Amino acid sequence: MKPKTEHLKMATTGNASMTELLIQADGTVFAHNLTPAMAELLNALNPSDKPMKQRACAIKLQSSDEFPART
Amino acid sequence: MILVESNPSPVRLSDRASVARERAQGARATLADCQLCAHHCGVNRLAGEQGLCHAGAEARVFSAQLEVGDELELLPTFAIALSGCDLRCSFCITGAESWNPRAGERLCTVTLAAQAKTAMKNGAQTAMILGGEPTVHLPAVLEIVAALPPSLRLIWKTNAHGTALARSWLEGLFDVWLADYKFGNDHCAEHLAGVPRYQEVVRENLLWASHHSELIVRHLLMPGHVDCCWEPIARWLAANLPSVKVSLRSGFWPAWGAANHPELCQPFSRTERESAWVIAHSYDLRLIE
Repeated sequence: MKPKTEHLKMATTGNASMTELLIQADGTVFAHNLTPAMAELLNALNPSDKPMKQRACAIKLQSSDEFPART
Repeated sequence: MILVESNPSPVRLSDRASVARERAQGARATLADCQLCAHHCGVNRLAGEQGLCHAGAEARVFSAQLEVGDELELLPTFAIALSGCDLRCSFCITGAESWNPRAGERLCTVTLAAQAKTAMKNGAQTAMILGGEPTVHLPAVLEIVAALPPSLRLIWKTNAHGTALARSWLEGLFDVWLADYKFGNDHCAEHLAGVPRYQEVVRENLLWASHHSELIVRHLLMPGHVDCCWEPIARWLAANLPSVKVSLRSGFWPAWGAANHPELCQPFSRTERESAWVIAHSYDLRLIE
């Protein structure tokens, strides 16, 4: 397998964030360097994927911990 | 012989930056006779000599961003990845950066600290320093720690192949050690990562870390290596670190030089995954997601 191109990797130290995906022929998706935005997208594509849902919710859950809803 | 020091002395949070800054100076001087990883190259990195990791005296960063792919209790994390590594894992998912310490951009702690503050505003609960393998850049790591906001929990993501010297610089600075236990026997370690005495070194690091910080042991399940690697690891953890948190990762993908090993040319199968979980449960391991 060829190494990835350098310009793609450089992007992650600037303003851009990056996730790498591997999509298998059977539709299984592997994600590396998973960003919140990509977790949200993958969760939207497959809401029944519980691990991805937990990751997509990580930011939201943290926010709700900090700012509990008023009763 | 495995040595386990007792009486951990965690650095007080308010002192973390100053302690790290002070240690960074001493750690940088030791690059003249580098003994940070268990290869013990002894090269003078300050004079431009290179050991097995090929790292120079300055660190480079190939990724710094908010991520949610690691263990749930660590999320969201601001992940700072340093180029270069002392292992040569054929299947490395970041092989281009891990095998090349000149990949990425030159480290700027001021920039990283600003990025960390932005990440905190966006929800980051922790900062994770990883690689490659960050141990080979310990002086730079200490400078990063000194620059990061003191309220961030710090995660040390490591291959657990460091030396007692490296551990002495790290002691008390990180809240959590997230340590890989990759191979269950020395033959696979030598064959797949070119590393000798793997079991002895990793076990010494894990035992030390368990006494000096919170520890999470991570194992990436590899196709064809459940019986030879995962089973002995699970057995050792059950016997020696029975209460340690274990993160079993099944997201192997055949990256970098995996094609050189026939069994690593495909992702981890469902059958093997079930078998791996049976082993974990049979040893009553404390699995986390």
